[in-house]
Amino acid sequence: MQSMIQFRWGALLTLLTALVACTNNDIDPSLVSGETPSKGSADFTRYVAVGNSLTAGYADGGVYRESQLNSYPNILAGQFKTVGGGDFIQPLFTEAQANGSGYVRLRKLPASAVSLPTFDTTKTQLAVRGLSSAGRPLYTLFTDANQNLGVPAIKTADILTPGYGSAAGNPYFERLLTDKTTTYFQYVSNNLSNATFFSCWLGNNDALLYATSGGIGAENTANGLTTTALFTTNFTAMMNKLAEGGRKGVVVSIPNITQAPFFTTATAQVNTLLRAQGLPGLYIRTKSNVRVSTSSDYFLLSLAPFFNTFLAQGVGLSPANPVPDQFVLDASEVQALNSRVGEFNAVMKSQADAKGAAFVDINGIFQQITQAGGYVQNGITYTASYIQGGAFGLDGIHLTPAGYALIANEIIKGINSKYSSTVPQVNPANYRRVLLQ
Amino acid sequence: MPTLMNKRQLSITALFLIGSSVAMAQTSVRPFEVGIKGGGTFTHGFTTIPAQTVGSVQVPQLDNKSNGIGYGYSGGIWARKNFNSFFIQAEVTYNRFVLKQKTNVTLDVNANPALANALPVTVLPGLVNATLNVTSESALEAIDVPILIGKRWLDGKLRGYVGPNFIFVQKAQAKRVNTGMINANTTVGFPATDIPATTSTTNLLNRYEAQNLEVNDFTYALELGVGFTPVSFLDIDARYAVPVGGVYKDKNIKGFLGIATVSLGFRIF
Repeated sequence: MQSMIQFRWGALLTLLTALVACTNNDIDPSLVSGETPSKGSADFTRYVAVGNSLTAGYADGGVYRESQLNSYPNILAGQFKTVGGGDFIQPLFTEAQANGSGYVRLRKLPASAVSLPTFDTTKTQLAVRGLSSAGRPLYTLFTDANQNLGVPAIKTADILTPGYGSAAGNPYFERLLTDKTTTYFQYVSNNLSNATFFSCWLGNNDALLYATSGGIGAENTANGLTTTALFTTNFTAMMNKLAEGGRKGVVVSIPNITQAPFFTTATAQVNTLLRAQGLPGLYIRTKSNVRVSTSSDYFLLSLAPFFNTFLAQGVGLSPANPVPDQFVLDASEVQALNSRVGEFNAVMKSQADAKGAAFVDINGIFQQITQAGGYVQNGITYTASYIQGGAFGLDGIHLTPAGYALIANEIIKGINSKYSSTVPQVNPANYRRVLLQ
Repeated sequence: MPTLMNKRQLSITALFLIGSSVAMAQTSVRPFEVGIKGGGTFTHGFTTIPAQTVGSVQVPQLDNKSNGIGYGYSGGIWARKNFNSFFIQAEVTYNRFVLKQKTNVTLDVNANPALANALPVTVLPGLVNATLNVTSESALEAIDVPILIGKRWLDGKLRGYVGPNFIFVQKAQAKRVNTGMINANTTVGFPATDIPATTSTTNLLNRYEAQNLEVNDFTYALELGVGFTPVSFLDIDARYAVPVGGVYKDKNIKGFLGIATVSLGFRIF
């Protein structure tokens, strides 16, 4: 009897221990799913990113080491590593020159709803190696093999232009070149050897620079819209090169630019002021005439530094003293912009389809951020508000690290759907929003 | 006649036997007893979590003070083997222990992700701190297996015992209520901001959720107690246990935890 009882206790203890061992509390609740990452039909061994400022990680009005480390291609490459991706080389500024081109910092929050926050610009630890004959900064060179080929400000229209990377040209491209006559197209070709996967997010600047300058530029000039014909020729050439030999990749569309705080912030402030004063609108100069502004016109963030001066001088209050054209993207310009972006996106989509690449309509995520209530993920609400929205950086156009993480996740979704892969997404909560420092 | 005599003798013998067995039950105990029991648990304690660095954020030492006694329950089966001078008792019970604590701490907003996430901007570590009042109720549910050795007094009515209690934790959840304020920093224009009361629940057995407060899924306690048996089928027991095996996986977390249990036991056979 005694030994029976002892045996039963022993059995009970063993059973309990086994039960406890089966309870699994080792699952990270923030992970989307527990599935094992797989590359599907894609090959991420060597990834090369082609694009503009967004690809370079441009943020807060500049390129700096932290912004480069938080570029969406770098975030993607980190995730690709879980499915056989290799190292990803970026033209990183060194730690000693971590502030790169210099950028805007948020130093102090506004004291009230109507006052402005305090910004400053980094003046030390810059990567400026000298000045061009025109007095513009030239940046520390990075002429090694490169995988993040993002060049701020580049348009699709520029990719076949010799001298675009000269000292008189684009300083961000100039720093990447040994032979300054190399075109961007050639530079991409040179860096594609052994590449197994590409991303292409070109084309934004073919529309954006027109929009940010208030629609003042003529077609195919620095601040003008690129014609669809030129865009098609150049984009097709780039896609032919990228998809050479059946290389797989992803093409990202141009979002609706006017959702960005650069276009919405001053507009909202002006409209609030107008309502308070009982005014129907401000007098604005458009290409064709002077008229009273409506809710379809955008006042640009570039107006903000002049806002108080303009008010004092009565700018916009009489037809004789209208708001200058470069501070307003008027309704007809918005229409021209949107229809051109639609044409560009159609070209990009058909090229992606023709080459068997994934096509990501990135406007979806921007719409979710813009909608009432914003986009909520892991306890953080992202909106399109300036500074406190979390997604857009201090220049009102480019993204915060969190914003780039959201973009990376959208691209991952597109890749996974096209190539039946299961590349894991990142948790945007691990990436900072606008930094008060 | 002899038959009648025999009958009488038999009945007397029977009477004697019955009487003797009743006398036995009143003055002694069965060699082996099994029963069920149920009661309440009363838990109190404090915890000191040492200062640490999470990323680039300094988190100061946290002093989780006792916030009163937490009430729980206990129920299960018991078995006792009585020897001449001592007894051994073993049990399997399911228990709920509730630990009520409070803490007041001033820390960098980045040290509390829920707080940092709720701010409209990211703040560089070292610029803005928050003073938080946190009250927590940590509920631990466990299967306890105490093995106790004890002695009887007062004709077996009074028992005293001591022994190890093996604790298999099934569930450990902390419910926290945060209130407090973000302290102003005029240099960066950050205004003093009240933090609305927020309630969060953390699974303390999940290392990703609980982080350094992850709870062991097995531990052991040292337990001692007294019991009173007013009638032979009823046990009234009061006990106190201290989980000397440690509650948290992080050995740097110090503190004290005491669990009192009051229970009624019914002997089944």
